[in-house]
Amino acid sequence: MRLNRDVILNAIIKHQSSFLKILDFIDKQDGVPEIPEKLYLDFYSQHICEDEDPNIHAQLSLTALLKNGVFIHHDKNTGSISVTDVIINMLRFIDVKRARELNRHDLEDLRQRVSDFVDKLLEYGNNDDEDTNELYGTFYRLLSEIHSKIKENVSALDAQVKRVSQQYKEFNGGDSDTSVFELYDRVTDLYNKYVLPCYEFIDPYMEMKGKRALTQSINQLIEHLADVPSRLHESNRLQYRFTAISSYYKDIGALVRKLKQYSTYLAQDRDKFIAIETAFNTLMDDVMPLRHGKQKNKYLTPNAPIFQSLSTLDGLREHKTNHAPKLNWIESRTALQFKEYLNLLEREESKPENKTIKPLPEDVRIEEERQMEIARLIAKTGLPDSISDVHEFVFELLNQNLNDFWLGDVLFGIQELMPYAPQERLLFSQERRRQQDEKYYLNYLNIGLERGELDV
Amino acid sequence: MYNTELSVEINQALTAGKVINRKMLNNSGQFVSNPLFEEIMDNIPAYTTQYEMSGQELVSKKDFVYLRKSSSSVEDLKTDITMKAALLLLMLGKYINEQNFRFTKLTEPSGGITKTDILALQEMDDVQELIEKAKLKNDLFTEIKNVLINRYLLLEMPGSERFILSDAGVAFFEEVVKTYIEPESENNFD
Repeated sequence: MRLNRDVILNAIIKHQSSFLKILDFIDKQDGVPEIPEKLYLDFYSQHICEDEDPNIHAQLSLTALLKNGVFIHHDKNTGSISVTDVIINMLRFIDVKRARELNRHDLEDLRQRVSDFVDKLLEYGNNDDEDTNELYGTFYRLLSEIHSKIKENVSALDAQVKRVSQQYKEFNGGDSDTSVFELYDRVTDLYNKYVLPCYEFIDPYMEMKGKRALTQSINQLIEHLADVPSRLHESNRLQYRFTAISSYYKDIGALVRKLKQYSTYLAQDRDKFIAIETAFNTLMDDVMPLRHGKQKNKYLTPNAPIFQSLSTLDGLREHKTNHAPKLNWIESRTALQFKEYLNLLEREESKPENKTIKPLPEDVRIEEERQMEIARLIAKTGLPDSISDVHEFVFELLNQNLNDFWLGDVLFGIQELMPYAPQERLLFSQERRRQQDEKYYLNYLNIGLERGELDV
Repeated sequence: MYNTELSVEINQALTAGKVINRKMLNNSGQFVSNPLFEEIMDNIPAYTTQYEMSGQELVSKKDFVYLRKSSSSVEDLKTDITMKAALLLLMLGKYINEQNFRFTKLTEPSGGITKTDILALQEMDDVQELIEKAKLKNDLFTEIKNVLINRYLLLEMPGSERFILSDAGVAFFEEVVKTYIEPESENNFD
């Protein structure tokens, strides 16, 4: 029974969820517009037959759809049904997520057709006859086709990128079963197969080897028409039409950037995944020879190849280690080592020798010549008005004036000095004092000299 | 000029076998710069000499610092602790892969490995064998605490018993990627 097309289209739209499965099947078969008869009969019996509308069987049965051109061929030998393009495009139009993205071949076909038309228009475009006008008409229809296809394509790609975004979000949140590899492949496929070709197709700066890019073809025609006064309006019209098409360049650019961003993150994750798997497998390979069942050499050691290949944490020390290796110079001689050697030398030179000094012997012998020298010095110096410490006074005097002074000289000096000091001015105290030279020391009770007239 | 107060703290940390990282976690669980690391970097010649003079080496990497014995041979640097740290970090990485987590679970303050994760990790067959072959403690969490957490290779998120990699831990995995990534797996977008 033949039906009006709007009736069938309304019925299809009413049951679009079933018909969109046809589209899903076609997309899985790389766009070949054929479905198995069983697929249609299954969802016809499971879903469409459930419809309470008694007329639905007359509108959507297999026979009705074949009769009315929705299905254009039914191969009973293979059990396949061919679906008309119009219905497929309508379904894609209904659900943008199922819109088919333009691939490289679709776009190349469009580019080639534009290029061919431009060649013809460059040759005949200045003529003012009916054939040329028809040629312009067909060319503008082609531009309209490109415009609508690019617009649809951008919507389809946008939906695809949103789907990938959602999957990435789920993956990021740890709620996804999709592995990093699957997600990365999806992003890469979407980018390489669909987004990039479309981006390049309308790229105003695109140049192709041995061919004209879309922009080059159209610009060539615009410039040609601008030089012909009678065709100037065609040049302007073409410019507007092409601007409308190329304005999608920005939208696709945003998708390109988004996918690149996902790709960068996913690539980093994928690299880490692969590297960790490889490193862990290497580790297990190192363990394998240790599965020999013997008692010796059965444990993993820091010298295993996996640990040799990684050096970030080399030399990490024992926790709560003792401080034993305080001077553990490395074997090679370094400037620092030499500096330390110099430091050591300096310390040794500057440190005074810590010799033990002895008490002055009781029996001190002073040579006669020396005695005379001391006597002369004491006589020449005379006594000051007062002396707080006679031993100290003599020590200082002799030390400053005699060569090879030693502590024994002090005893003789005191012996020589005392006759000059009046007895009544001498003060004998119980205060213990000490004088020393490099070898000897002398402990004594202090003797002072009070101020007064000296009779020297 | 070095800061004596900080240098004492630095010495205590380093001689106890700890790593000083560029970043540390504050009480709110956010990464902030570590004053000990900054102090060392501002006076690196002094600190290097300090330890060199006592026969040790201050290992100063881009994002972390630690102390080791001066040594002329690579073998001497492969200590038991180095082995255990590498082993435990690789186990954590493997667990992340097996569970289909993003690597950021190990690095972002919003993520973090929990005690439950470590218990699940311990149940993995390969991990069981590694525990035996490397003579690790049967309680893997204790081992991770001793080797990774106490040395600041893993940082504990305040009040949540979640652990994320420190700068030194991240650097370890960066080396793993550099060493083990296959050249053909480059990003093919550019």
